[in-house]
Order: sequence, then structure tokens, then C-alpha cells
Amino acid sequence: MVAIAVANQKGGVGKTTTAVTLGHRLALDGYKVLLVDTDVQGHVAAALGLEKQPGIYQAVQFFSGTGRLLIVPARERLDILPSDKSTEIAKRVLAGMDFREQILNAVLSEVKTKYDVVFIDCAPSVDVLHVAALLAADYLLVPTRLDYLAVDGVAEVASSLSAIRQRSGGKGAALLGIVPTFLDRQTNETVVQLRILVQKFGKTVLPPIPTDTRLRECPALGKTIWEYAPTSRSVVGVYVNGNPVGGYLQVAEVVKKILEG
Amino acid sequence: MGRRNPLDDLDPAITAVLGEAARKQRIRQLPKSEQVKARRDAARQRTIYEIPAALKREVEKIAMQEGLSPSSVVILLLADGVRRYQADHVSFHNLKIASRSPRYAYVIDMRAVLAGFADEGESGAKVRR
Repeated sequence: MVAIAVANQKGGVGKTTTAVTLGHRLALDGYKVLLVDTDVQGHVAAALGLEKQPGIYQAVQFFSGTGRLLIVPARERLDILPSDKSTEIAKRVLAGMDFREQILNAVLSEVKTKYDVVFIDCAPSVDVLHVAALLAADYLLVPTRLDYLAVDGVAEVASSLSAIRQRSGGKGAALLGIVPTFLDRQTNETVVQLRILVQKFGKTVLPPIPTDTRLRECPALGKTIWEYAPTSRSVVGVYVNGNPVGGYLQVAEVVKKILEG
Repeated sequence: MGRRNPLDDLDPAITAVLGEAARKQRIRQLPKSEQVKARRDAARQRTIYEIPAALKREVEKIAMQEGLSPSSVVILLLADGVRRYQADHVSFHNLKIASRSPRYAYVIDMRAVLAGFADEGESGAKVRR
């Protein structure tokens, strides 16, 4: 089993969309996938047309030895560990517990024989669950909008990761890649920020995801982009010199290479 | 030992997007009179299609015989094929196989399409034309 944390301290950069879209793509390709939602907004369940539920709250109870994990089937080969506003209470409970950063490690140990890949969708904040996700995951995927503040968020999450790895004796996620989202080729700022990302992070910058209205419409319908518009530009990319460039299909291929070793 | 350039080994998608932006920037910096010609040149279609190596060799052979560029041969033969398709003289019906990719409904039966060429059905070579 490979665990991938999807994180960026900036909100609205496409973390949940990336986790749900890649998770469902891999499930469609035959992998057994679990999506763990650590965000109090509970949008992983909503994006898949399901109800928000206290999955993280129950995971804290499981961690303290008094409950069972709440895992909900979402699609064929795709399950979720949902979240809702009770996650806020769960974080307060965790604050008083020993080894609290190990909570997601404990969850993943429990499910490791059932799944090929686990995506952990992180909240846009540095809290105990964010640290727990970076400790439990094998890899970190960082979606970012191509604007100054979001790109700054990438540097922040990279610095959190290196601090965590230092304090935990080298344990923690390795940077899988940075996914530029909301690519708009008409805007100069987009290109400027993409160039800055590439200068800082080189080949870890993965194929960009073009801005796509169809992708924004998906959550309202409770469908993933593979169900709603599988040939839209966020999936197949935009055409540059007649060739498709970017899109979630290309990013999914990168992730599959990691899974296949 | 030279330091490794951070721009080496970039994902081709990133290279394409940045390349396109740099090209547009270069055109904007030209004198107005040259911008029109530069835009026209940039608009010339250059498309990459996957062409099996056996077919590529045949195209180059014809180009050599006719004293034409391979691009000209491709244009001539493709235009003829498109005309015949539009006149319902070509059918893909027996050549299509269901695709596993969500991008396309079908792929073609390469062996059947390339029957008669040397090394039929070998994997495609990406050729810039």
C-alpha cells in the first residue's frame, strides 16, 4: 500500500478535487483506493455525492481503543473515510493525547491490507492532522494555483515537510510532485508563477491542470469528472502546437508509475 | 563537474506551456511590422501524430522517388484519404477496437491497417511534421 498526502496550506487550490479525481481514476484502473478526508469541511464525501460523516472523530476513538473505523464505499474499488464538523472536536480531543501525530499511521496500519493506495486530503492549515498526514504518507502531492500566494503556500508546505522529516529522524513523506491547477494560458501572471515554480522545484512540477468549468460543476452533481465530462480539458489537457498538454490523465500516469515501482 | 540545471528533465507538459509563453513574448517584443509575419509563422500547423515506423519509411521512400518533402507527401495522401472518407468510400468499421483509455472510444487495429507493409503493427514512432 502506498499513501499519498494531498496538501497545501493555502485554501482553494484544488486539493480535494485532485484527491477525488486521482482516487477515482486509479479505482477505475483497477486499484483499490481509500480517500481519507481530514478537512472539517467534509468535501470529499460531498464531491462524491455522499453525506458528510464523523469519520475522523471515530478514527480518534479508534486510536484511543474505544471505537471502530468508519469507512464508506463510494464507488467500485473506491472507499472514503469521511469527515464533517466533528473533526474540529476530534482535533481538540487529540490535543490531549500522547503520540497524537501517529493517529493516521494507526488508521493506515489497520487498512493496509485492503487498499493499494490511500489519498489523504489535508485541510488548508497546519494542525495536528496535517502533521499526522505528512508523517503517515509515503508521498506528498501539492496542488497549487498559479498565483503568488498559492505558490508561497507550496514553499511553506515544503518547509513543513522538511522540518517534520528532520524532527522524526528522516521519517515522513517524500515530495511526489507539485500539480499546478487552474492553468490559464492567457494570463501573464500564470506563466510568471509557473516559471517561478519550475525554477524552485524543477522536475517535481507535474503536468498542469487547465481551468475547466466542467470540473467546477462536478461537486454540485455529486459526480467525478470521469463520470461527468471525461473528455474535458481538465482531463485531457489543452492543445499546444496540436498536442494535448497537462490534465489529470497525465498526472494519474505519474502516480501510477510510482505505484508500479 | 557542472551543476545540474533545475530546468533539465522537466515534464514535457511544462516545457510546452513555458515554450508557448516564451514564443508569444518574443513576438510581442518584435517591431509591429514584423509581429504580423511572426504570428502567421507561429500559426503554421505543426502537429505530432503517432506514425508507425513502417509507414514512416514508406512515406520517405515515396518522397525520395517524387522529389518531394515527406510533409508534402503526407499532405497529398492525407488530402486524398480525407476526400475518400467524406465521399463514403472509406469505412473504419472493421478496423476499430474498443479503447481502454477514457480519452477515446476506440483504437485502430494496427495490424489490419498496416497489412502489406514491412514490420506491420510495430510500435509507432513520434514524428514531427
